[in-house]
Amino acid sequence: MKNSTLPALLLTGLVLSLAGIGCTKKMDRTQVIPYTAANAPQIKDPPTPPLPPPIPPTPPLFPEPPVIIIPDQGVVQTGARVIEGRPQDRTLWADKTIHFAYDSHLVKAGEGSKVEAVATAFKAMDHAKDLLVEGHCDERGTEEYNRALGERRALAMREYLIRLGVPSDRVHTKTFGKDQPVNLGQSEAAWSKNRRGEFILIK
Amino acid sequence: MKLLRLVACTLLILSLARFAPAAEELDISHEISVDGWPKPIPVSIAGFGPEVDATLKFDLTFMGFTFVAADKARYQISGSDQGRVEGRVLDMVTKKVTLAKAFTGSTTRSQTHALADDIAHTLTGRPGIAQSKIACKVQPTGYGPGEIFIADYDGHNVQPVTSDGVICSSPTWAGPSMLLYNSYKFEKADIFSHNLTTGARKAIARFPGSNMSPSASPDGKRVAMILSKGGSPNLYVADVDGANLKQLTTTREGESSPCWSPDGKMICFVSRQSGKAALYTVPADGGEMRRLPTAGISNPTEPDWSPDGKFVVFTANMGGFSICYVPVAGPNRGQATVLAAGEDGVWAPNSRAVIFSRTKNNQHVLSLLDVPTKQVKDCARISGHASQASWAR
Repeated sequence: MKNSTLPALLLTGLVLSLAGIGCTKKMDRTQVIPYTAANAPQIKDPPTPPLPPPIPPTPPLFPEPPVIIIPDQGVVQTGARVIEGRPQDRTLWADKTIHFAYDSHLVKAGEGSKVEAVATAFKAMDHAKDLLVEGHCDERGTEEYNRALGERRALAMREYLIRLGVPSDRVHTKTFGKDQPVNLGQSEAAWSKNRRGEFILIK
Repeated sequence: MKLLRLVACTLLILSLARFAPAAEELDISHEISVDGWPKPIPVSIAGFGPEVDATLKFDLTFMGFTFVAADKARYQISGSDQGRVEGRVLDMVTKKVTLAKAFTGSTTRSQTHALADDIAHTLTGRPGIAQSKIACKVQPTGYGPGEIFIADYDGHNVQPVTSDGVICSSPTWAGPSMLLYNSYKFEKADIFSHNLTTGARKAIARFPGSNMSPSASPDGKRVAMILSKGGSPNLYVADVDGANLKQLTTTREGESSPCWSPDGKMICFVSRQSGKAALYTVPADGGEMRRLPTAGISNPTEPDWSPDGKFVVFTANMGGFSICYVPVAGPNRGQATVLAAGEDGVWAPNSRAVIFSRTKNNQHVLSLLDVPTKQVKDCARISGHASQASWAR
């Protein structure tokens, strides 16, 4: 999201909240700028814990350190946290894998508790660790379309984590498109397993 | 470029005797079909051995020719392949030999491609494609890690480019001896340039987030690509070394699969801005996104702009993938046509043939499509699953 549009969306969210317009389901969607605990409308059912305050308009979602060009490596960014080559724990949050609707990157209401559990656990860890979120798709889209969709899913997970207070420079996104299915079947049962987002701890 | 000049053919003008059998009534009108395609030229072929005969017919199928008996031919092609490929073309209307050449050096196959290109260029005025190269992705299985390869346009003469052992995807030619592609060598998706002559490569986009779907401009000097560093997968352009990066779109939903207009002024791409996939164009120097309609077709992705500028070929996703194309200007602008089952179509240099991938016996194979006639033939099989072809042009 561009910096220039964020304040406008925040304002929109504030106006909506003051007008008492709200939908509990939308509370879990990363697309919607969250209400603050103070001005959130009364929630009837299902009871949903209030989301944390919105991220401030600065810094941008991905901090952009200066770019340098190194002869053998090409363009690299200085200052960014590197995850390449570090040990990964793929089992720690294997049961927190979330699933998406067809052609959608919205984190479904029922999946929010998994993101919150990961955020809580990760925030308690030391600052040397990083969090990698991977977005995957089913086989029904074309290759590069799915590569972008998988990235959008990972970004939605990242935004959710940031809103829960996870530092933005420690959450990294990766897309697999449709390159890493967990179920090779050709049915909705298989496809729904493949449309997923995984949380990996980078040690 | 050396790769394209493997056919170091010595051209010998042969003093072939004119021979002119009486021609029956011949259709010499150059009929034009709905979208302005010239009708295939009826030719006969005689005198070659089986391999050269088959190769020549394969090549000419995708350059505007159809094969008929000698007495129905507009042009009679004859020749031999004893030691070297020789061919001549007899115009059955003027009774004159319009082409007579012999080829030496390299392989018989290369000599045949050279003859096919000369015939096509002489008789249609369009550039030949039989000596052109493609790049593609090859995966042992239909998903996961894969490598980038280059090959002749018909799938022969395959050579590996990468050996990263990770996901590699979307190769694109940036000039005759440079490829750009996506590799997960450094854990996630980054974009690399790879000099095919020296083997040198370097990252040209390695920002936080994913760096995806590079597409080199027709002059090979710039690259359009999808970067997520701004928080959403958006369209960017940069110089081919990664410098002078500029963001062209800012949608929340994300973009994919950019390609260039032949003059390098516009970029066509896919955006989900409206909530579902659609084609858009945007000036390469920045400006407003404009929808390119695809009437009758939903979920268009993977656009590729024809070198003559007239059409965009794309993949429709309507419960299965279909290769479609749509005129970008004129009275039929936005009126899409379904051509064949398959995905990821890319135009040949002659703006007539399209290479694409389709699934046969659970394998992804590269196939060629002659757009005006909708004829399809498979390329020679490359091991494993082949997809994401890019045509050097």
